[in-house]
Amino acid sequence: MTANGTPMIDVRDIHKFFGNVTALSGVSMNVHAGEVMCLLGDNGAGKSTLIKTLSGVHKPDKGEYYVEGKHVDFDSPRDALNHGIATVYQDLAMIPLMSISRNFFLGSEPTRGRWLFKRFDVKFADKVAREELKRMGIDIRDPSQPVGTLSGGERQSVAIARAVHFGAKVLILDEPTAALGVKQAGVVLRYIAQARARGIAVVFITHNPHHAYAVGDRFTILKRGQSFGTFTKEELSREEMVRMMSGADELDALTHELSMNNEQ
Amino acid sequence: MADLNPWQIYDLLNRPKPLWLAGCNLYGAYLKGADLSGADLREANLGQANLSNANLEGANLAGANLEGANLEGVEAEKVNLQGASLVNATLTRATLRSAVLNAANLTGATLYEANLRDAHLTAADLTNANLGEASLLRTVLKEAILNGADFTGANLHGANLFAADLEGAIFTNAHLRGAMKPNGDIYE
Repeated sequence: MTANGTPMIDVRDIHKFFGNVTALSGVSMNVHAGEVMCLLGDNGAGKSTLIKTLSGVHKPDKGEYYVEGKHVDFDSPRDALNHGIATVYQDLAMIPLMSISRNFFLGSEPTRGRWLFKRFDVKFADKVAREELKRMGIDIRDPSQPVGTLSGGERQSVAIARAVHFGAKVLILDEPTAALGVKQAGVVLRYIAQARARGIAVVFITHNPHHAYAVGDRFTILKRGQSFGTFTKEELSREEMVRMMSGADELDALTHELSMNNEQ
Repeated sequence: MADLNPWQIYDLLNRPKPLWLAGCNLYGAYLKGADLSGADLREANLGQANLSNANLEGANLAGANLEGANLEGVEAEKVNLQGASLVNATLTRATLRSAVLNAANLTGATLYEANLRDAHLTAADLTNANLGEASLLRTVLKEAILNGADFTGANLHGANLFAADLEGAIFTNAHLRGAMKPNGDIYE
């Protein structure tokens, strides 16, 4: 339940309302450097609202937000980025037809030449992208190949490596394994573990307890916009995690429905 | 009785904080209103001690013996009482916000009007404890033993009662909406 030192990010009693809909109700969580904190919850639990709050997209209606012990009030995602908080969204914000290195430096392109001759420094970008990806253990064939030719897992890994390269101290990953196969999900989980080994605080959002359990140090359960506690692996089994996330009624109804289908 | 006489305790309490009192025998000691914030009291013997209105904020009392102790009105935010024995202890109006009481034994304890908001009581034994009018907002009571515990008028909104044993527990006028049931569902 506890970890030592000042957390990299610490949110306390966060509330977020959209009209009369309560998206988040008194959620508290924190993550330390070199730690993977998993945010678990079913659809509609409030995971996306919470990460958007953490990454500066939404302003909380109530509650406090601290980064490295200092109170912050983000007006935009740029503010969060300036504090070293990088978010990798499900859609990855990548352009499939652009090369890996162009995507790697998207928005922060290295250039060479002056005035009218100023242009994207392809050689430098290729070199850095290749080196950074190699540091994360990703061996790409050619950094000039389009991102669209990479598998889902590789694309996630490029997005993670990009965030790390640009100085992320906190990495927020929005369901990075959601649309991946078993092997590809394994690749992404390995990079999450590598980011942790580099001292980065990782917030890993998922609804897959198997993925969470493989890399997570602590687990916060979200349900209906509420947090039901933060647990270590010793305090919470995988089965309990599933049960807490989905509830007995829903699981029992599904089991019943499936058994009925089998009988027919 | 305690290994220390009242003068020694007085001297100890006036030393630079935080105090290191791990394993210390303070049985029956008079520590009313004492500042023990951040103190290391792991495995200490505080049975029958008078700690009413004391400051235990952030103190470490893991595995300590507090049987029959008087902790009325104690300020103990973020205190660590993991595995501590608080059998028949009085914790009326105690502030135990964000405290860790995992596997603590609170059998017969009085927690009337206590503030246990965001506290962790995983696998704690609260058999026959009195939690009347207590604030248990978002309190984790996973796998807690709550046989015969009295929650009359308590606020359990957002509390986690997953796999808790509620046999004989009294919830008269308790606010349970939004709390997690022992089977993982939510109280409507």
